[in-house]
Amino acid sequence: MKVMILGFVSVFAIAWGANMVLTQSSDFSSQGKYSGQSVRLD
Amino acid sequence: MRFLHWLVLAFFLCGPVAAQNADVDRSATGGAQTLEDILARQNGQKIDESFRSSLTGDPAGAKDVTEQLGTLGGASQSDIWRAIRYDSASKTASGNGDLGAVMIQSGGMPWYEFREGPLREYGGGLLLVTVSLLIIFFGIRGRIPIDGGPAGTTITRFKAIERFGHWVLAGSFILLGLTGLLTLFGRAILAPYFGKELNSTLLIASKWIHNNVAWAFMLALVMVFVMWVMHNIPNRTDWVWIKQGGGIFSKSHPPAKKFNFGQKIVFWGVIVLGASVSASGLSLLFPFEMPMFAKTFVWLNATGLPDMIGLGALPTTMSPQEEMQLAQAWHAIVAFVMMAMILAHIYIGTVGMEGAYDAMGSGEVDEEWARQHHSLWYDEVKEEHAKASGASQPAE
Repeated sequence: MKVMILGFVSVFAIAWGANMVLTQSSDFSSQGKYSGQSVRLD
Repeated sequence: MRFLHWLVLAFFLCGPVAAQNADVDRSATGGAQTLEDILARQNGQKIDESFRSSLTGDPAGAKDVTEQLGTLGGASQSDIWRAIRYDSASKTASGNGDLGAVMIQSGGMPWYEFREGPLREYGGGLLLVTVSLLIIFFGIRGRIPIDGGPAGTTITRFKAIERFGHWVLAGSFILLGLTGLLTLFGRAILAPYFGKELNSTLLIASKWIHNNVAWAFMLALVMVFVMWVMHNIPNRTDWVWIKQGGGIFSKSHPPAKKFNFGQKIVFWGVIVLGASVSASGLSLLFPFEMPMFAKTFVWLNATGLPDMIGLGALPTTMSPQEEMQLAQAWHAIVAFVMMAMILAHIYIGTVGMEGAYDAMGSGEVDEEWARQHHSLWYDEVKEEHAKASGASQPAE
């Protein structure tokens, strides 16, 4: 039972850690990458 | 596995295909689509679009600059938009390469319709059918008891690290399953009854959980694979288990090592489907950076399988958006199959069998349960204990 709770808590701990790391990466945010571009017909 | 990817997607996404008459007379519309074309499309038939995709203007037909229409060149506005739609227009994007240059992506509609329709219906149906079958099975078979009752003494089945890996995988999978279902069904099921605001809040939370908990799932998947792969390699004992149908209906107890054949199916199902759902999930997590389907289709075409069953060559060039759509569709299909499988796993590990939950609960199982369900493993463990206790006896 203790291990089960530890496992469940770890899920969130890993998720929180992943969120911290990924939000530090500018590549993970699409806002900067895909806004403001233009397409010109040749 | 890749072939299965393709087969399922082709079935769902292509829809009914009818032979298209290449000799349709479109002179009345000047080469544009006719009422028959529109009706055929509405009937779900696949239309040969070449008559439109090739109708993108003719530079040779341009009027001279001195004439009234001289500045319009050889392509009308409709011709230009057709060229944009079929991605044959010459254009330059200020950023994002191929992705940025796609101005119209017609493939988005079949994907959207698939996601709103068959994916929900068949996926949701699969889960409901699975739950119904488990309820019926429980009604017929009841809870599988320990014959003769528990022994009262226990034996260690799973160490703490094994249970930890299992529960990280289980906890993450349940969260991913629930948030995935909310994402797919929220608009159709929650929003009409509880309002769009609540649905929106749940979706925002679901997205955060789904994107971040995915890493716990992948980590635990690797953990579980490393810990249990050696115990899940099929062997001759499995054949006995298969012949007796696992003793599910015969109420017999076929011999088994640490994992019986049914558990091996679950293990390999989780590993293979889990790896596939992780791959497509990563592709979705990092949009447009991990395209997989065109490469998979190249490989499939090289095997000759698609051609062999009369489906011709699979598309090997597709827009970045199409890659994402296929990744989402495949991600959801695999997830539904996994959920159905895990529902059965949860059933047998909890209400379906007396004494089974202890294996992952405390790690200690009743000796009689172990003797009945994993007799070969039980003998091995007892033999090891006997050797260990013999070795620890002081020499006389």
